[in-house]
Amino acid sequence: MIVYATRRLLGMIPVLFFIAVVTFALMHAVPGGPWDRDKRLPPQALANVEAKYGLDKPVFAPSWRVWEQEFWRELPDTQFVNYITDAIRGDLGVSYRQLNRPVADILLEGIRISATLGLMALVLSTVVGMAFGILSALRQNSWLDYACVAFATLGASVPNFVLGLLLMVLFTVHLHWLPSSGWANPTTFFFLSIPSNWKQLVMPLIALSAFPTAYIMRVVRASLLEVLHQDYVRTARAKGLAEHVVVMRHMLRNAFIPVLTVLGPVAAFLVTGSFIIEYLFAIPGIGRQLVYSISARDYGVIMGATLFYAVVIAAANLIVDLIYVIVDPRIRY
Amino acid sequence: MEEPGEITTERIAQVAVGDGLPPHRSLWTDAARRFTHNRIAVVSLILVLGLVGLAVLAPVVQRHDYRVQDLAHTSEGPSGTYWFGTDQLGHDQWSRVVNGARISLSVGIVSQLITAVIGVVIGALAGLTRWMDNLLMRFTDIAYSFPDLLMMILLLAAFGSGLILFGSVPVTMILAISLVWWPTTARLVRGQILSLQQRDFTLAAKAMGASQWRIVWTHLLPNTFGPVIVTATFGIPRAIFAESALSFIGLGIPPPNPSWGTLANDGFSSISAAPHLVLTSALAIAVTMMSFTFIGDGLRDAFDPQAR
Repeated sequence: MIVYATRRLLGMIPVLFFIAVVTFALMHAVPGGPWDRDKRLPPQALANVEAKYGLDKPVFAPSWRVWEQEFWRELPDTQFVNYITDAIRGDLGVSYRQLNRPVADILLEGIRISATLGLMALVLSTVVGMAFGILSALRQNSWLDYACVAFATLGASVPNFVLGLLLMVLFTVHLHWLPSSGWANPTTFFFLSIPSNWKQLVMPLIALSAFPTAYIMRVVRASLLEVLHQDYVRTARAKGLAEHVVVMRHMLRNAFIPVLTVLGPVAAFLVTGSFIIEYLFAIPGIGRQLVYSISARDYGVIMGATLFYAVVIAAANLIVDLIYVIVDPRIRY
Repeated sequence: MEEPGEITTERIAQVAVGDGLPPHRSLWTDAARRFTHNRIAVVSLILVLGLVGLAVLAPVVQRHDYRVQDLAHTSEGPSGTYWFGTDQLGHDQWSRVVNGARISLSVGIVSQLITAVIGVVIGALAGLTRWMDNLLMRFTDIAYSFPDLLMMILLLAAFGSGLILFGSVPVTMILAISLVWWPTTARLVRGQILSLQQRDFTLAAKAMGASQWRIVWTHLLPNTFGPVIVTATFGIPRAIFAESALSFIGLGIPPPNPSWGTLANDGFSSISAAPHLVLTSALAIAVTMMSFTFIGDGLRDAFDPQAR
C-alpha cells in the first residue's frame, strides 16, 4: 500500500508538469498583458516593468543558437523554466496587479475561504445525502422515497448558479431574510475562515451543496437497493440479528463503497467548481481570485491557482483510492 | 413429417430468409420500445423538440427583434406585448430567451457530437493497438486532473470567444468544450471495446480469420454506440451548464449575443428591480437541462435495462 501510494504520488509529478505547460502556454496566448490599462504606459516604462519581472524573456524556448550553446551547461533562461525552478523552491512569484503582493499570500487567503465553504458543503451533502439515501432505500416506494427521488432529480439537473439566483430572488428580494452577498470580518480558525455574520453562509452553502447532495443520495439509494436482497443480508436476518445491526454492519458497509467512488469527484467539484458561487455571492475565495486574475492577465496568480486546483483533484482521487483499501479488504494494491 | 429439431435443407432455407422465426427485434427497436414506455422521458423529449422548434423558428416567434430597445418600456414585468417583460434597456426578454435557445442548444448538441466522434475514434484506436492504449491512458490521467471549466476559460481567453456563426453557433465555445471533455468518451469506448474483446462473437470472428481492424470496425464499434449515445445525451445538459456558467461570470459568450448565461448575468445586476429577468433565464436553463437529463435517464434504461 505504501508502495502504491508512493507510486501514485510520483505519478502526479508528470501530470502537474504537463498541466503547468498547457496553462503557461494558454495564458501567454491570451492577447494583452498585465499592464494593459485604459491609459497606455509609455513604451519605455512598459519595457522597464517587463524587464523587471522577466517578461521580456522568451516564454518557453530560447532561440536555437542560444539553446545549442548553453543547454548542456545550464537550464535556458526562459519565463517557463524560471517559473518552474522558482516554484520548486517554494517561490510562486508576486502579483502584478496587487502591488507586488506574494502570490502565495493571495492564494492562502482565498484557499482559506474556499476550503471553509467546500468542507462545509462536503460534510453537509455527505450527511444529508447519505441519511436520505438510506431512508428512501429502506422505505422504497413510500412518499418519502418519492420525495427523495424527486429532489435527487431536481438537484442533479438545476445548475448551482441558477439555484443560487432563485434563492436570492426568494430570500433577499422578496423575504429580506438573508444578505445577498459577502464574507464580512472573517474569523480565522485553524485553517478555516468563518464570516462573523452566519447568514452570509446560508445561501452559498445551499447552492453549492444541492448537486452533491442529490448525487450522493442517488448513489446511496441505488447501491443500498442492490444490497437489500443479497443472500448475506438474509443470512444475517435469519440468524436473528437486530435490524439495526443488519443495516449498519451488513448493508451499509457494502453500500458505502460506491459512495466512496463519487466522494473524490464530489470533493474536487466542490473546491474547483465553487468559483461561480463565489462570483454570484461576492465571496473572495480562490475561485474569484482566479477568474479575476485571468481577465487581469495576472500570470503568477493564474498559474498558482490552477496548479492548486490540479493538486486538489489529484489528491482527492488518491485519498479515495486509499480509503477503498480500508473499506473493502478484497482490494489489494 | 420431419422432426422439429432436425436440420434439413428446407429448414436452413427457411432460417436464411427469416421464415418461421420470432419477429426480428434488434437492439434498437427493443430500446425504442422501452424508451417510449418511459412516460417522463417521452414528455421531456416532446419538451426538447418544442424548444428546438422555438429555436429554429425564433425569427418568426420572437415578436420583437431582440436587439431593438424600447426605451418607453424598460425593466417592465411580463405583459401582453412583452411576454417575459423587458430589461433595463428595453430589450424584449421573450425574444432574447428564444434566441438564446439557439445558442444553448447548438452548444449542447454540436459539442457533444464532436466529443462523441473524437471519443469513438480515439477509443477505437486504443482498442486496436497497444501503444495507442498507453498514450490514451496517459492522456486520460491528465484530463482527469484538469480543472475542466478553468481549462475552457483559458482556451476561450486565448482563442477569443467572439467567433459566432449564423449568430447562434459559438464555434470557439463548442471547440473548447469538446477539447476538454473528449477523454471521458474515449475512455468509455476503450473500456467497452476491451470488454467486448473477451466475448464469444469476437472469438468467432477471429476464428473466421477476420483482421483486428475488421473486428473492431464491424463487430465491436457498433456495440459501443448505445453507451456513447447515453453519455452524449448526459453531456448535453453539462455543456449547456458550462456555457451558461461561463457566460454568467462574463468569460463566455460576449454580451450582445443573448446566451442564457449572459441574460442571467444581466438580470443579476438588476435582481431587486426586475427579478423576472433572472427568473425567466434561470428557468429556461433549468427546464432545458432537466429535460435532457430525463431523456438521458430514459435512454440509459432503454439500452441497458439491468443497470438501473
